Amino acid sequence: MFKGFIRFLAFFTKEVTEISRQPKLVLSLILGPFLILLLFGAGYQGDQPLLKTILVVPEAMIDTPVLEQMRTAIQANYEIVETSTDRTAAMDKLIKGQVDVVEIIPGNIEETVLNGQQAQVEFKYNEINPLTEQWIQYLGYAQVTELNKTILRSQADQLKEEAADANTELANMKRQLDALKEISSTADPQEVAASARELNEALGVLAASPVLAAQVAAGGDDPEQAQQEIRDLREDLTVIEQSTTNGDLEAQQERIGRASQRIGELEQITGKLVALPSEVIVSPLQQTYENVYGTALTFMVYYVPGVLALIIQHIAVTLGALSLVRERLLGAIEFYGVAPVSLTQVLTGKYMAYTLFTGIIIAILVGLMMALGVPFVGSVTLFVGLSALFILAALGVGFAISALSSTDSQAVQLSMLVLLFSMFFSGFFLPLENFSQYVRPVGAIIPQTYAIQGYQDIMLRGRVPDQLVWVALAAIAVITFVVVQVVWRRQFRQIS
Amino acid sequence: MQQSPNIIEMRDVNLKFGGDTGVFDLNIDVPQGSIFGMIGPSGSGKTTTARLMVGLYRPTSGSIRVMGREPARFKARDRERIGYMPQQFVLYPNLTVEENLRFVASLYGVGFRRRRKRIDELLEFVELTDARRRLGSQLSGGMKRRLELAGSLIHEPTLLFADEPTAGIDPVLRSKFWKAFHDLRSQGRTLFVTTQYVGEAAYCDLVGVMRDGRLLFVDTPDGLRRRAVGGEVVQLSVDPGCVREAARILYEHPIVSDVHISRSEPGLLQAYVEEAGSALTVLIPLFDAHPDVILKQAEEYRPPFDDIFIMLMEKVDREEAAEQRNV
Repeated sequence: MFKGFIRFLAFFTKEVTEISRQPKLVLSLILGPFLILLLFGAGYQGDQPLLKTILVVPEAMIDTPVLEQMRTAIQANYEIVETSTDRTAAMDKLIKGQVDVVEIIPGNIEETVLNGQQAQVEFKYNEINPLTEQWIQYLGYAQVTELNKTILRSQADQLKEEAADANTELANMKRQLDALKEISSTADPQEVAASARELNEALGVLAASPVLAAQVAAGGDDPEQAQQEIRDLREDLTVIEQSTTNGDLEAQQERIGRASQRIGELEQITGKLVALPSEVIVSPLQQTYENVYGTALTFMVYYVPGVLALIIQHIAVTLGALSLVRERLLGAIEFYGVAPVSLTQVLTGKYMAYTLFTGIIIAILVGLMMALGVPFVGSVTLFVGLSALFILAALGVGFAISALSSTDSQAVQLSMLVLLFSMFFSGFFLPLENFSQYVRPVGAIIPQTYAIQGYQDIMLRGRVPDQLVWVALAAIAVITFVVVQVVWRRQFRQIS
Repeated sequence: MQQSPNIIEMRDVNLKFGGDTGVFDLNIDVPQGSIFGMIGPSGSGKTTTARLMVGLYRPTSGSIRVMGREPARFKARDRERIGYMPQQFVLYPNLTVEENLRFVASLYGVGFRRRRKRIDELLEFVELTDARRRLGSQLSGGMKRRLELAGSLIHEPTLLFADEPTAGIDPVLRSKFWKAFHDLRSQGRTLFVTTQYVGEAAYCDLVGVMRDGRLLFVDTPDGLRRRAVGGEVVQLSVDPGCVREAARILYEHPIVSDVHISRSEPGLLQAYVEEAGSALTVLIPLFDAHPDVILKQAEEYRPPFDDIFIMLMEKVDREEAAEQRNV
């Protein structure tokens, strides 16, 4: 038992001494990752790309206030480097790569719309980056939506002005109809006929649009019923107008009463319409956001746990991968094969030494990051526990690589493959949900996948990581330990 | 049950790697407290034999018993009694001489107190005391081999396997190594040493000669010498002018099996006899009857092992050729 402990200590001490004998290695393992983190934090902004754009407009739009409004709206998303009417020249520059986007505003927008067609704003780009393409399309969509809202806002303003006029007209008509109804001497038949005609024409526009009719008519739930009511009112007004000419207004008392009531209702509704802000008419729905976390983190802070996990995993995997291969290349395995030492003692000693060493690197890195303002809101004990499990799992992967490699360059290559693998499939940059269900399980075998989740939970959210994180890391650590034992056991006591 | 006087016993051991490579029909007995030297050219199977003995290889057939146990079934206690100095491993370059020894001592479970004393003794023994704080990477080739030897002895093994311990080191250091091996033998330890230097066979108690995976001979150094030359050699020096007459005189005597006249040294000739000591007393008086042949000097000649090895190989070649012809 005591001898077993001495043998375990042999490897622990040897590894620690060997590492400490290489100050450049230690420095590069600590400073290297820290500088990468610092560079990433200082450099990564996560902003949308700045797209150099030529705006191509119709000749008639040059030097108009509309163009200025349009330029202001577009510049929110695109950097307009030129405004031109020459589409061919603009496309030529796009092909040569001098600009990123050519935005072409169509001529005769009003005419096209009145013809019942949508006017097309064209976005031309010459792009191989799918992400930039997505940005161009998204920003184009946002821009056209904004332009549509601007146009609608101006139309709503105009509609409100007309509604205000109609409201005055309705009030006048109602007054006259009320007078007619009471056979008042004050009602002038000629004036009534003129009002009825004008109102009838105005209602003609409403009757043509089911949506507008529904909006203006009381209730407004059933567009067809609303249109029918307006048609009925128009019919009443036509009959009333004819009656003033024929002089039989008195016979139309019931119709006058009904029309007066309907006009009264319409008056109320147009009054409401006039009072409505144009913004509400154009955008009846408005979104609100609330982040219950508080304020979202900066990109640098958000990515810190991921970068930390990536670096730690790479260090542990590389240490593990090179360790056993190097022993074999040195011929030490042959020596151990004869010595009274077990593979478990060799591995345990190495595991412990590397865990201690990597743990020190984590402590230094986290300390430096905190000094730079990265928050650490969770439990230190949980963090230490998770880190220990994570290191053991990553070392296991490294030792497994070592068991499968015959040379140190092969071990380094495989370690680099694990690094690449982790970059893509651990959810570090690309969310795991973006992958198909067949590929997603790949991420499940990478320790970093769970370390990122765990570190984010502890460092940034201050909560206990999900049970899956602990179980998965422990499972990877145990499975890789067993695999290394099985693969190495034969090689250890016997030269193949 | 009577314990075997042999610490190592190999019986009809074969290990085939594929094709014609491997070791074949090995029968070796290594007595306790002796130095067994295994000589042979590179690739002859010396290292494979050593690895079979320590359990790093499993034989295809045959039996091996080391310290009374099959190597594949060694317990930790058995391993603690074995010292192994592999050909390749030169300990860790980033550890100092002392740290390397401390590491090996821990591997063998040597306690902390005993370890310190033992390291001091061994550093003294291999003359590395002044270099104890020097890194492994800063040692010369000879110092590395000495460190390795110290490493293999740190736990005071009963049986030491040293695979080409003197390879690539200068003759002075080589003789120091052999002195160290003799010291160990005198302490009652057994050594199994492989070497490419045929001349080192002279330092061993028993010598095995290997070629192409086969053990050609196992004998004492003198026994090998006898096998090579068919007995012993008496070297005589006469006047160059009467060397042929001297050869005739010697050849005619029945105790002389053959006479060889040196071409490089005029006047020198060698007579092959059964036993040199007694032959000298018989042969020298022969020249009294021939006053025209002046005998200047006569002594027993021990040919170097390099020559003996070549003779042995030639002998084997001749025997094999004869066998081929018979077939």
